[in-house]
Amino acid sequence: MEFGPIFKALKKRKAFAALIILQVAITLTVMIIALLVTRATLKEWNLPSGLDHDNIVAVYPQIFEESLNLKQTVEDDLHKIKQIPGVQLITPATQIPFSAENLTDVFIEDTEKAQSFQTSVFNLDVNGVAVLGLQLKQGRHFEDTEVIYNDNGQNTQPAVVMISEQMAEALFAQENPVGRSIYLGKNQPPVEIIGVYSNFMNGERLNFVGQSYRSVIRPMVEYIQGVDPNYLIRVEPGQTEVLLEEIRGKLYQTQGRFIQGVEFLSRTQKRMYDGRGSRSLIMLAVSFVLLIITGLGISGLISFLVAQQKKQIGTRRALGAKKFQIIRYYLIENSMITGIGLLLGVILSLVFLIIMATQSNSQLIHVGWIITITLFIWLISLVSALHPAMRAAKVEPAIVTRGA
Amino acid sequence: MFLYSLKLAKANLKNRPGLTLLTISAIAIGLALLTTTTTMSYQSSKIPLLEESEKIQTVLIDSRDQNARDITDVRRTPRLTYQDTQNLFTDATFPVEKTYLWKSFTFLNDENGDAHPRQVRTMAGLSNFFTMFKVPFLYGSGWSKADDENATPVIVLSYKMNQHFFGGENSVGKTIRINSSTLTVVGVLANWKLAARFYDRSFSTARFDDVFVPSSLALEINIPRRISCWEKDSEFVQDFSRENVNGLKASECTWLNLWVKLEDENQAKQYIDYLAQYVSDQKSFGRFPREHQPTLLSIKEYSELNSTNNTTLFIFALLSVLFFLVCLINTVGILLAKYMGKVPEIALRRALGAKKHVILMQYLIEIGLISFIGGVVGVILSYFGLKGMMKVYIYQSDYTVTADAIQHLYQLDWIMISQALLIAVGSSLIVSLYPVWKMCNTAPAGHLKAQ
Repeated sequence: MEFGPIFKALKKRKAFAALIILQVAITLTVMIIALLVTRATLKEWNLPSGLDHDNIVAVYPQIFEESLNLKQTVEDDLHKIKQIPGVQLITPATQIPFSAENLTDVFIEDTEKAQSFQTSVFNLDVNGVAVLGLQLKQGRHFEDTEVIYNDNGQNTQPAVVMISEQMAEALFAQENPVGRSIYLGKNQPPVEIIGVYSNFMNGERLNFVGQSYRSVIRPMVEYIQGVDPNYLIRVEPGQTEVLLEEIRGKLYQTQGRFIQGVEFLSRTQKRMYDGRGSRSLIMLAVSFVLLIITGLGISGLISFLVAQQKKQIGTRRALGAKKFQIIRYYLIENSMITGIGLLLGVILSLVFLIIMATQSNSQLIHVGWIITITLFIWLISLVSALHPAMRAAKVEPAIVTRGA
Repeated sequence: MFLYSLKLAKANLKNRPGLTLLTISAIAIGLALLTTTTTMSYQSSKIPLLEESEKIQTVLIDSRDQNARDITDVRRTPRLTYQDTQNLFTDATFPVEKTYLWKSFTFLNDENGDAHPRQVRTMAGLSNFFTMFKVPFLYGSGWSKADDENATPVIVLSYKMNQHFFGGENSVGKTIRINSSTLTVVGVLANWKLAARFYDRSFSTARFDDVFVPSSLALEINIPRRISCWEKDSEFVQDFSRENVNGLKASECTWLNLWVKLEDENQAKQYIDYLAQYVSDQKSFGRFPREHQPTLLSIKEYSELNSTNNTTLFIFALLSVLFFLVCLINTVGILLAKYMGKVPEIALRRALGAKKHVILMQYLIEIGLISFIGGVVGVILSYFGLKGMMKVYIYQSDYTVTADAIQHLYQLDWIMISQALLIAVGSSLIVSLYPVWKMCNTAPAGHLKAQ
């Protein structure tokens, strides 16, 4: 093919070649960085929650008045909220799905060197599993008598727990977990697993390491000053902000407390993913605009080249070159130039990626993605070159016969 | 002559309006992104308390046990223990202005419950906090030294909290409650425009403190403390942070920030020596088991460390610089393509006696004009870009920060605007100088023949 002549022709137009090379190199660098950072950011993003999060409300009350009796207040709250029309079930809760940040080390044996499984423990009362709408996969539900209520100072531990499917798999692989014992921390008494429920999202800390659904539900309510229980409420479908305001108003009837938030779990979920989502969106938008600009630029430059070379093209056509050969010429020429640019771009982006990876301690480089992005940009440059190349092919051979 | 060149340049712009529009928008888009990110990093790396930022320094001593993790980043040095803070603060052998403070979250509420209670960021410190850090007051003033000693129940409110609980009126002398304790308001801050909340080492730019109380009082009414405990103390974290003040005071838990004001480098060196002496004295009591050199970090040094280690902003800044380069190359490429078509015309003008520099000037003026218009449009776009980024941040924080708390971080000022215009015009001219020069240098004869 015409590599030789193209190369010779290019040497005469170094400036143009250099402009395209630079443009392609930098565009590729930006695209690779933006997309790989986005990839790292969006890892484990927007996974199924396993919850009916539009119909569950989380309440975060905080009591600061020391003279208030915590146990009494919580019991009153539960009673009051249950009276509100639209509310179905309620449970006190230490942690809230999507925001569980307190991790517990769980062990399956009581030895010094036992392997630890990090997980989120949710302390709920007997309604807990129903409020969250979890399905029972194995074993049975809690019974009323199994729920432990610890008033200030008491420290009784429940004898039974339920665990999620993912937790069961992590702990016992394919074996039946029901009836087995686990330890919620070093030097803790063993607790018996009585049931396995369907997976639900715990929170960002475990989600980030790919253990989004590891959880344990413990039938316990504790009244400790300063560590107030939150509430999880199952509401009838179709409830709106009006209900949230009503709950807030009811709770504020008791003086000496602050209601940090009353929200649907869908909002908690939104908060969990927000930071990552919007950052990636900006990156993607930036790369998209850049791609358009580069495409226009390449197209513009080659159009100009074509306009300049009308006569040569005409001569070639007059000498018998077919239309597709002219198109091929420009596409090959363009690919040769972009090829150099792409190579430069890959090198440049690797340099930056390595700098960033050491700075933020994360693994960013992914060969498959880099190759795909590079091919994609090559394709874009071909597409942008196609239109001017086709115009070149339309040059009439007769043009040569005309005087200048 | 210049006016003539300008006229020609203007005529040239109108020659291919589509192409001109394309070049202008390429510059504008590239510059808009660049200005948006540079403004964000410029505003967020502003140094708080600038005029004193080299003098006011925080004391960093690592009092942890032998097994604790090594400190690779000086900013991660733990805070100070109560013992060290007291020893260094009360010791008069090195007379220097100093203050200490710690942080808490409390609940601000009024007795009759007219306004809903608020969870508030609380600073517990000393009376000289307000003078040393030049805190502006709207009503009243800080508390007195005697209040520090007597743990008088007094409080200073932020502008925002005074709005919420007292409707913005002068509340000095009125009472308000923190958790279950009643305190008397002695001062209300004016709008304190601090670039970053440096004094608790968070350098937060969006969330500021709501209330200020004497440290002695805060310990007496036992508001919770945010503490870090190491090794043997770690099982008492709950107890020490909420209940047991005396236990905390005697422990090796770290939770206080100590700031000193040193006039010059010489004094700073002496102070470091003094700290080293203190550490070695304490070693004889069996404390400070680690090999550690006490250090000082000024507000300025601290801010600079923070801004050079901001990975997110670094990525955005890098991308936007590259982006701008592409736009620039694009513009110049398109312009040159356009000019190349003009070579015969240039040849003709040259043959008729036009000087090289006149032609050169004309094209540079044209490029200058295009890039200037692109620059202006770019600055306008970046204004909206910054607005958009602010919206994104507020959305990200799930509406826990308000627009007026962070507005200053997304504001263009004249420095940024002139810098943007300068970059647009300057870089376009520099990049196009050589090709335009070469074009003007083509020998007229060859092109004239063809005509």
